[in-house]
Amino acid sequence: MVTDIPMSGRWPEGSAHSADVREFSDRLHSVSAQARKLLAHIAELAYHGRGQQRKADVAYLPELHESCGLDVEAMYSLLNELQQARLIQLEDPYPFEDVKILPSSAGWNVLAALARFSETEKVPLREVLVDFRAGS
Amino acid sequence: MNIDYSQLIPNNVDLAGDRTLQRALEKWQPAFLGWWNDTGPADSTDLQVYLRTAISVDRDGWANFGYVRMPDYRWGIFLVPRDDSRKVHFGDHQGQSAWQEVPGEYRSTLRRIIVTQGDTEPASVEQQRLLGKTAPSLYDMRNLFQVNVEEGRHLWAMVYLLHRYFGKDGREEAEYLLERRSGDANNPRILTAFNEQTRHWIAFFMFAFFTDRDGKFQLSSLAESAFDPLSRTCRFMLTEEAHHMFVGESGVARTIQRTCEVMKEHGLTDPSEGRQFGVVDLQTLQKFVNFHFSVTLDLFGSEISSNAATYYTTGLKGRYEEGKKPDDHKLTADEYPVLDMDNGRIVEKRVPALTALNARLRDDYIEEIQGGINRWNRIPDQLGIPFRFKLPHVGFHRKIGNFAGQVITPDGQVVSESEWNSRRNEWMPSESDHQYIESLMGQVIEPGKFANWIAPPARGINNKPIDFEYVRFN
Repeated sequence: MVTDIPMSGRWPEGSAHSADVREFSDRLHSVSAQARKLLAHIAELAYHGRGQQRKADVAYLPELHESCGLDVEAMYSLLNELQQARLIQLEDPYPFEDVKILPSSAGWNVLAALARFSETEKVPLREVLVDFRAGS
Repeated sequence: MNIDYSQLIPNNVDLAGDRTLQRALEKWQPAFLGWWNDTGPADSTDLQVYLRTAISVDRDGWANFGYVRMPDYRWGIFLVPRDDSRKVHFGDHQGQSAWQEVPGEYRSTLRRIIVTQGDTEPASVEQQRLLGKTAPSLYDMRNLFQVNVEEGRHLWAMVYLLHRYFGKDGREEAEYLLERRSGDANNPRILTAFNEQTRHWIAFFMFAFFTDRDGKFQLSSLAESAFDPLSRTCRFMLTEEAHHMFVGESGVARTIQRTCEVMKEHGLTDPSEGRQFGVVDLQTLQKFVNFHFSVTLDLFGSEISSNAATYYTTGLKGRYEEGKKPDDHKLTADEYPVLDMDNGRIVEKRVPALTALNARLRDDYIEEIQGGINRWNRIPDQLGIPFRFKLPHVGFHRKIGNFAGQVITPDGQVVSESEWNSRRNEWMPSESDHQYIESLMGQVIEPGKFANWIAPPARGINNKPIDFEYVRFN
């Protein structure tokens, strides 16, 4: 349901990529609320993380573990869910994996754009991805 | 709900609103600090450690990073917020509102559960007291200290419950928690595994992987409790425990990684080789898997337990992920399979599910542990080393339960005691194995440098670089 994601006048960048947004929304709906929460957290670290310069579109597993209270099993289970939905991809072999946020099949990174939108509009990304409060 | 750091004891339980309780805990606090100074990380008082401190229990406040002298760490009392609609969802009280006070008939049992859990928290700090002196890097030293301060906070969590809900008896138990000592012949910690010495970092990583995970399963069961303050306490503790298991799993994984890299570099395929290059050979690591797995299984108690049945029926302690189990949550008509000995043979028996709750919790634990073992096995697989780690049979090296006193090999063969003893050092770490590992242990304090026996992590903490000064020596 595309209307779950902020559209039209509120998010012109998204409106210009409606097919990408639709694909992202479909992927998002295929995963559990817990996985969407983790995805929001991954995006916050990837796009608002502090400190050293980081790899593009990437969150690091140690910082995820330290900042969200998920144990190793729960983390891998949710990452697997997000990976199967093609929202993320684990890069590099265990135990040195990074979590890379995937773009749409056309190559546009919807989550990065949503993170920018949430920052400028002061809408928590978690609400957009998990609670869908910023819908339509 | 934010934590009130203006108080002597940071808390989110409105401690200031209960002056009697506040005074009692403020009286206990100096004793706690005395215990920390006596038995906490050795020679660490002046170190500035880059630690994570909770400033609230919600998602944004859980992880705040900064340099802290450990004696100044703000140990406090944090519970997840109360949900007035929460119901008991298993046992005889199913459907009733969760209890905000301790029912009189369950008072002594609940106190015993809380004391047993609480006793493990300071015990592990005591066991790990000397490890900072041989930390393989500043990164690892910081992780050790993070684990230590949080185990100290978990002690606070249990002591709060004892003081708040168990009156004079609870206050006395809180004092005893600071008096017992890991490994002390006269006044030991309650559970055997918490009286074993943590001699080196391999033992620490294994402990964090195997034994802290037992803690997770016990806390998860208590998080289901009808006694709501216990449930809310344990739920917050679980967020911190999660990181401890990550430290354990990644620590062992980095050790395996380094060994496999050296084996590949030198063309070694025999898992007993590698010591000549200053790494921990895979066969020795397998022995530590055998040891820590078996002693941790004992922490789950006897497979068949009327106490466990009573805890469940009365709503004091649920199963792991109780809400996800597709049954009636009473279990009066259910059965569960457990392994037992019968005329010298290992056989499966079906027993009433209520009495087999320890076995069920243990089986859930083993399933999760196997997932970690599978991940570790990816490392030799990726590097082309023909070795795979295996969990030993549940009957191997057991002192509690159906297999106590039985002599069973890691493969599950029942053998004679003399055969077991003659092969013991093939399966369990020997004194010389410990001595070899201790010979590798030396403190590495140059930022970005790591001891030879362990691979560096790929990433630092809180997006800091690997060569960040995670611990400052002033």
